[in-house]
Amino acid sequence: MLNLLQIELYKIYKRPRTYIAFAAITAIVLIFQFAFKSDGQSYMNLMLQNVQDNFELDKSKAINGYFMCYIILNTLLVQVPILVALIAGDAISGEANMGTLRLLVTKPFSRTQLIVVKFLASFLFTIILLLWMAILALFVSLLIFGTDDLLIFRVKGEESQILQITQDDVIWRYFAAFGYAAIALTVIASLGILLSVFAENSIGPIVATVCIVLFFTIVSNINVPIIDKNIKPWLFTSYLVGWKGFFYIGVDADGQPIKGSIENWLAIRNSLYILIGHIGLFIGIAIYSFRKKDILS
Amino acid sequence: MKPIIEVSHLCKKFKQFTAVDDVNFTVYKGDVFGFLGENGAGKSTTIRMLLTLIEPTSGNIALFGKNLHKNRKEILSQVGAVIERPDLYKYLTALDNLNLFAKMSGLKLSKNVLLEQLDLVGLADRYDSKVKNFSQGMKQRLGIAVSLVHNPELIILDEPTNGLDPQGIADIRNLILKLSHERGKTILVSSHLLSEIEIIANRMLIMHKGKKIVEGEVNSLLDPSKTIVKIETANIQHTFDLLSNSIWSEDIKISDEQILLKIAKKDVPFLSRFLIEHHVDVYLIQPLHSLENYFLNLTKSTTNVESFTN
Amino acid sequence: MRKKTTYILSLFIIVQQFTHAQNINILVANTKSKIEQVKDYTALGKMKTNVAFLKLPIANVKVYFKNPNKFKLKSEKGVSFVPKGSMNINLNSIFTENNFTIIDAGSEKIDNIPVRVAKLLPNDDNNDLVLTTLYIDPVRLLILKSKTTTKESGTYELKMNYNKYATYSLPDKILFSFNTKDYKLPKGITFDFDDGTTNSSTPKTEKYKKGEIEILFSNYEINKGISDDIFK
Repeated sequence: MLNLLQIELYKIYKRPRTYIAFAAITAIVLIFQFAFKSDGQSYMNLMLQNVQDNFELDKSKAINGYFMCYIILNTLLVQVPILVALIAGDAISGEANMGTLRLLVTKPFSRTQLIVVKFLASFLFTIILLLWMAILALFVSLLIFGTDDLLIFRVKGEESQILQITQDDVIWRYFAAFGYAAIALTVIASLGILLSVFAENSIGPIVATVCIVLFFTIVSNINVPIIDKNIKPWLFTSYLVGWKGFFYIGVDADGQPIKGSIENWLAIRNSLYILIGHIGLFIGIAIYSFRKKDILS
Repeated sequence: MKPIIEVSHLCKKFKQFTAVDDVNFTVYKGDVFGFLGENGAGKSTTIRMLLTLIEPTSGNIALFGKNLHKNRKEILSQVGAVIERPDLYKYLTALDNLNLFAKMSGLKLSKNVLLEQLDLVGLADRYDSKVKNFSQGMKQRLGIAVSLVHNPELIILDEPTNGLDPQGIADIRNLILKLSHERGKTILVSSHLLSEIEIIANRMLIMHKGKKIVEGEVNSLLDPSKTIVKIETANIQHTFDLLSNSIWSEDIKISDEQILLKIAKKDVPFLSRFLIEHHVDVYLIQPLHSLENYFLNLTKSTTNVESFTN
Repeated sequence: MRKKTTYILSLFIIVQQFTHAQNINILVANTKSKIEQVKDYTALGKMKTNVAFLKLPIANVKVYFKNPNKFKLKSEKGVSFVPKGSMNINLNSIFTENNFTIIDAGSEKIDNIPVRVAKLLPNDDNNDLVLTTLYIDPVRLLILKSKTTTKESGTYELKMNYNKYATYSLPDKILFSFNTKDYKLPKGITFDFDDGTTNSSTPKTEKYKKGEIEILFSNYEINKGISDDIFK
């Protein structure tokens, strides 16, 4: 099994396609850093809105490495599912398309093992992609922009809030957030693998995965109460942004942030359960379908 | 002789379409077993069932005397296969591909061993080239090298000469003979060309429209002193029963609205007399001269058979 | 006899003080001159912000003052939201304008301390300041509370508690109240995580809401001289 996983990782490592994801992330992060280095103030003005009527804020301090990482993750984690789909949606269908699937399936291991290995390989790919993101978006940002307190601009229901997290309370939140994001993206990977079982070219499942994610995301962002209540909880995409929960710092009765706290850990935990449930469901269906499938490619 | 492949009552239905219909055959150790039939005859579907790519609708397959379904892993570790186009990882080199599939079989082979394998198929000098730069013939040979890398007992080659130039065909043919004679491998090779099977196989099976037509020693099937006679009568089932209980019972087949009978050429007049003496209303008695003729006849009349596996 | 003299004397002083205090102009002037004995100071402060939409930790700040009206509030470390026009939280700046009409608005009690109420009206119509109301403890000559109405920033209120540095008219604690506008980010800009606990029941009728800033001061350094560079 480990042997098979090595082989899968070797294949991913050797494929030119793999590096598209890394190149895309690098480009996006660098563009962000350049843009904020040259004109982060206007973004701050947009986020602060009329707060500046009452308060002054040292914006150059507010635009620090931690803040940059949050902004980059906020945008990037919407795009990264596409990059994960690029690898996962190809897992089985790509082999079918190349004609190697029929060879793989005649090797002395079970189809279940093959799916599990494909899944683990996609999972590791996702982790490595996130590590790369962490290096660029967090550590490189910290090098360029320095460390300071993190301001979180948040819309909570009808309210908007600005949360301040002191700099000694930030880094663990990023580790937790990256961990969460890994699980969220693994849901995408599982969906990609599931769809790739049914196709004989890799474009179909990749596009289908991306379309499903986009469609669900759009629906869950319509912001109409009837959808928020009845449909949104059923869409796994609603939980993809749950990593932000780690940055919603808990506050005391006075409205003072409590260092080291999270406002709603239960919501995050439940989201994680739901996401892990989806991974299990998608991979389960993928294994079931693939075991029954006649390989005609 | 030890049977390596035993297939009994094998059926595969794709929705309404019956691709393989009650096929039985046995391949023995050391055989080069020719699997002959037109495109769409059911060869590929049968081969894919032997390799667990397709689940049979019914019937039994045993390899090495064991049930395939129950002993899948153990059996497949002793089988090497090239199925139709021998597609490999295009973005990897010949050596990397070979190494990858060796690892999949749990083998860690040294570069020298792998190069030896490539040398067997004449690709040692191209070990470092990416497969995407290979010709069809080279890919085919690399595919065979991949199928051999774990030193399997049984090698299954599905249309290995398809799309190759005459030199490529000759190379593959020599390779198969070498594997059989020098290494004692059991080989099942499918083709739609009788001429090919005739040269390399010692036993053969002809399939047509999903059904087995004939199975046996190539030498005796292609014996020029024997002929296949096609018979059409008013009551085909009655005629079949009659012949089955007579001296003609040895090599008799009933299919569609006809009976096929293999007899010595000189016996054809006796057959006519026998039928008439038994008051059979004969529409047609037609000697097909040889198996080759018979096969050609078959393929000519079935050029429009749908292909479902490729 | 001696007892009686003491009694009369003290009564005289009280009456004297009362009549003295009657004149609000003199009370304001005396309070002002008490304040003005501080030429400059620095102090450390712990600033707590109570604004509904701001969830900020207590900030360590340092304040600098140099007369007549240089004032600066700096956060010691970290990002901090400093109330705009932080001049407003410095009493010493209240009297920078000399051109006032002072109106006596009677007496009141703040935390059980009797105070005199003085309304300061700027004579210059173009001044942003509309009205400042001072609540002065006539005994200690300390301003306990001030209320300022401006044209631009509305009304804000300042409450002071004195202790150690009462002799310099420097408070140990101030509470600055002001009106804030509602903060509203456009939906969809942040792609926030909806954990299902949003309370849409909170009424959003008033456009303005109260905000409060509380600063506890310590470590005053008074009249030690400060470089002007700090205020740049």
